[in-house]
Amino acid sequence: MLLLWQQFFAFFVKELQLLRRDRGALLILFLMPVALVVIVSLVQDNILKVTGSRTVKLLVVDHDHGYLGQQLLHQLETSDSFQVTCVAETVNYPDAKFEVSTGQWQVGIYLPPGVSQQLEQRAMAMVRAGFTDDVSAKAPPTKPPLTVEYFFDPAVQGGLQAGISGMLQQLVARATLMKQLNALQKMLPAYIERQVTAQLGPMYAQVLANSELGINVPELTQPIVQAVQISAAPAASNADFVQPTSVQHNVPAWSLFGIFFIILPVSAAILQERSLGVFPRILIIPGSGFAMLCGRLLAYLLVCLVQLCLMLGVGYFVLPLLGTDVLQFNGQLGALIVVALAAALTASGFGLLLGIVARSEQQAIMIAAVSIVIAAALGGIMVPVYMMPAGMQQLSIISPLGWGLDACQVLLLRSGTLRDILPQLLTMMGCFAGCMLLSWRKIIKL
Amino acid sequence: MTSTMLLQATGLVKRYPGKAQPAVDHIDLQLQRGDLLGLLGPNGAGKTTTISMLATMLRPDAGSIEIAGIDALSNPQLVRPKIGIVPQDLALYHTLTLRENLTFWGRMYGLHGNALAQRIQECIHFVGLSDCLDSCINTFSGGMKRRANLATGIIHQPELVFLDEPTVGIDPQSRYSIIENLRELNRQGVTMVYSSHYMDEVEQLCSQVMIVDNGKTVVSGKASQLLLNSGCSGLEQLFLQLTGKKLRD
Repeated sequence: MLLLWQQFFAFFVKELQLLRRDRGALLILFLMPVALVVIVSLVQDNILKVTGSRTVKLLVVDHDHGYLGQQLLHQLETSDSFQVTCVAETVNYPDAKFEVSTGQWQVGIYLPPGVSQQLEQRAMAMVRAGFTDDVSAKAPPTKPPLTVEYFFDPAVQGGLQAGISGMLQQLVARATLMKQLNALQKMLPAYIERQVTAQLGPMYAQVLANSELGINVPELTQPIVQAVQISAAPAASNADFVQPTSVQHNVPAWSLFGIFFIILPVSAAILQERSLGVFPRILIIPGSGFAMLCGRLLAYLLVCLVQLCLMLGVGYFVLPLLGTDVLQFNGQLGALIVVALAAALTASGFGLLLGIVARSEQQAIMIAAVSIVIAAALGGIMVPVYMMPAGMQQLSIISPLGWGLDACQVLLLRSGTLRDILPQLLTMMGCFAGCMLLSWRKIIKL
Repeated sequence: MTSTMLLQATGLVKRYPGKAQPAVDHIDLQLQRGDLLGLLGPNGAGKTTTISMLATMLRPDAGSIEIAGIDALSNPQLVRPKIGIVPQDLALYHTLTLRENLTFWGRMYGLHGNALAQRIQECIHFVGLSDCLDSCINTFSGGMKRRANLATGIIHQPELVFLDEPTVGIDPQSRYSIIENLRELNRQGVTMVYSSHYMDEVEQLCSQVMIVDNGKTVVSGKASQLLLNSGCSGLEQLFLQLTGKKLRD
C-alpha cells in the first residue's frame, strides 16, 4: 500500500514538473481560455444592451420633414442602443441603401416625402368614417398602407434584426395611434354639436357653441399598459434574481471549453512515454498501472482547478474593468467548483484513454482537438442549444461540454442548487468511469 | 533450479500476428548469479523480443521463465522488483533534470527520503554524472544520456539487469565508460543480459555468449570456448561465419 502511494505521489509530482516546462501546453491551458473569455464576453456584451454605450449606427433619411420623422427621431435618440444620424436632402434613397449595404450603417430608415401629411389625412378620414352613417365610407380602405422602409446591413444577425424591427413597428404604430387620437379630438366636438343641433334644435347648439366642448387628450408620455420582464426563478428560491448577461453566459461556457483542453497534454504525455522507453519500464514496475492513471489524474485536476480560479477571477475582477457586468456567483461558488471538477475528471479520463489507445501523438492531437470543438458546438458553447435545429438538439445530449454548461446555467442563471444538477454530475462521472475502466483494461493487456 | 541459478528460460516461443515465422522459436537460456550473457544476432533475429519476454514485458506464447526460483509468467509482480531494464529507447523524461528523473524512478520502486537521496548520489557517481544532476536531459550529449539511462535502470539495485544495446550511437569514450561501469556492476554481483551489435564489447565484457538468428539459438557458451571450437580469431568472425554476410533489412 505504501508503495502504491509513493508511486501515486511520484506520478503526481512528475506530471506537474513536465507541465511546468511545457510552454506550449501552459499557453493552451491558461492563456487561450482567458483570451477566449475576455474577447467573446466583450464582443457579445453590446448586443441589444439596455444600458451602456450606443453602438448600432442608424441612418435616418428624412425626405418627409414631418410629424412621423420627428417622432421616430425622438424615440430613437432617447434610446441608449443607437447612434442616430439624420440626413435630409443630402442623401437620396438609393445612396442610403448602398451605404447600409456596405456596412457604413447597421440600419437605415427612409421616410418618403409627404408620408406624415398622408398619415394625418388618412387618420382624419378613418375617424370621420366613424362619425358618418354612410356605409361606403366605412368600407375597408382600398389604398395600400403608407410605408416607412427600413433596411439592414447584410452582416447584421437575425437576433438584432428582429429586435430592431419590432421596435420600429412599435414606433410607427404609436405615431399612427396618436394621429388617430388627434383626429378624434378635433372631430368629436363638431360631431357632438351637429348631433345636438339635429336632435334638439339650434338653441341647444347655440348653448354648446357658447361653452366650447373641448377635448384635449394629453400626449402619451407614459404607457398605460407595459410589458415588464420578471424573473422566472421559483418563488421558494433563496437566491436573488441574476440578470443574464454576456459575462454570465460566457465565463462558465469558455471555462469549460478551457478545462476540456486538458485532453491534449494528458494524451500527449502518455504518447511521448510510449514512443520512448519510458512506458515499458513503467509497466514492469509492480503496481504502477493504477498509480500511473490516478497520479496523473490528480495532477491534471489540480491544473483544472487553477484554470477555473483564473477564469472566474477574470469574470469577477477583470471584465468589469473593461466595461462589462461583473460575474455573479448566485451563492453557488462551491457547487460551481464541483461542476468544474466533474468536467475536469471527464476530460482527463478521456485524455488518458486517448493516450493509451492512439497510435501516434499526431493522431491523438487531431482526435482531441476535433472532439473538443464538436462537443463544444453540440453542447451550446457557441450557439445556444435551443436555437439549433431539432435534430442537433437531440444530438447535443451526448456532449460532455453540454452537460457541464447545463449545470452551470442551472446554478448561475436558474437559481438552482447542487441537488438540481445531480443528473448532469452523475452523467459526467459515468463518462469518466467508463474511460478509466477502458484505460485500465488496455493497460493490463499491455 | 539450483540456488545459484538466477534465470532459467525454457522453450520460449513468440509469434507476432501476420508473420509466418515465429520471432522467437524455442530459445533456452540459463544464467547463474553473477553471469554476464552477451546476446548477439543480426537485425530481426529476436534479441529484443527475447529480452522483453525475460523482463516480463511481453508474454511468450509457449515456454517457461523462472527468476530467482519464482515462476515469472504466473507471478510477474513478484519478480519485477528484482529486474532492471536499460532499454534501447532512452527511458528518460527529456525536459526533466537528471535528479528529477532519478527521483521519479526511485520513488516508483519505493525509495524515499534519505535512502532515495543516497541512492541517487551512488548512481550518478557510478556513471560519472555528478556535475550534471540538476541539468535537463535534453542538454546532455548522446553518451551522457546513455549513462543517465543506465543510472535510472539500476536505481533500485536489481539482481538481474537487461541491457538492450546500451551503447548505440555514442562516442568511444562514452562507450568505454559504460563498459567499465557494467564490468564494475557485474563485479558487485549483478547478473546481466547484454544485447549488442558491437562484438568487441561483448568479447570484452561477457562471460557467456549466445548467438541467435531467425528466432533460434545458433550457438551458446563461453566466448573463449566458442572461439576455440570454431577456429575464429574473434567474435565478429564467428558471428559472420554462423549468420552469413547477407544484409538483413
